Amino acid sequence: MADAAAGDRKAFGTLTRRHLRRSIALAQRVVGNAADAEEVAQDAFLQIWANADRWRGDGTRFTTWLYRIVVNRAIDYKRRRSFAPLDAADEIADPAWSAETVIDGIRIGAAVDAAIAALPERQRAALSLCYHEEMTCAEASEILQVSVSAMESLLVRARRVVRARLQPLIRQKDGVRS
Amino acid sequence: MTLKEFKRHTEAYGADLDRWPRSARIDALALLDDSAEARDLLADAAVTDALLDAASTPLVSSRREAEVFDRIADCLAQRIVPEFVPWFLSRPPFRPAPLAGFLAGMALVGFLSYSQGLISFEKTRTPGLSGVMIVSYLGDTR
Repeated sequence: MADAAAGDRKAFGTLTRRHLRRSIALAQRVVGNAADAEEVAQDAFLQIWANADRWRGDGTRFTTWLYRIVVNRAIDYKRRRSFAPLDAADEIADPAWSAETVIDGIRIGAAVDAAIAALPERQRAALSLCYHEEMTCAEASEILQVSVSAMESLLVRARRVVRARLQPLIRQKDGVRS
Repeated sequence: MTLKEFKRHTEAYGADLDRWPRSARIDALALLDDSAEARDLLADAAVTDALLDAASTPLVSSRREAEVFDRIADCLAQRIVPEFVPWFLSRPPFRPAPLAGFLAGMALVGFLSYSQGLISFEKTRTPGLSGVMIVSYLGDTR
């Protein structure tokens, strides 16, 4: 990163290759689709190049800085292109779903995706970082620039909302078991 | 650890104690041994975990990754000439070329102003030796 900060484009290329895939995946979890995620990741890396000389290696990990930029850009992007996500959430609670469809893993996955997509951006980002990217709460709180307790609150609210939205699935699943 | 604290942790971190803060794990295990309510809370959290596990994982193929990489490289290639940054906004040490140009320009303006008589300097008379008062550390004037 120090070489990239000094304007070494080759070093920046190496850095980009190393972190691009995970950055796209993280962006995709926040924005919810592949094309937007690619644009977010691209913008994030260009921003890093443009501001590379501002990075200070004083204990801040490069990945923390990178994911902070990716997540912030993804949140901004999602806000600019808000598609009334609650509509998607309504589909999850459709009582017409039968037990057969509930046990269909693909449909459950789609329902969970929709429930997560309907979360507010910061809650979705918190869930993605801590749960899917398997970061510690402290690491994720640095990326979202909040305190650890605020991060916990985001997680609590995110999990509660997802669970509430998927309650019909849980009930039906319990019904299938019994 | 109280049951309330335990609940808060299950709601934030889920049922997998490995995700919990290290400091809370041992107390949580102790509470789980003693409290059926705690075990129920953990089971509930496990259901939420299972649902979250069912979320699709974004797949980023090598081709897709390469396409984004190429787009980034293209954007950088189109910006070979760096965007103009005023020298005074540059981080120290100041960028040498704009700074040297600025100083040379200022010197030229100063020279021309002087040579055209826009600025005049009055020569100040050097005080003679008699005009200099020396005050000794004893306070005497000599």
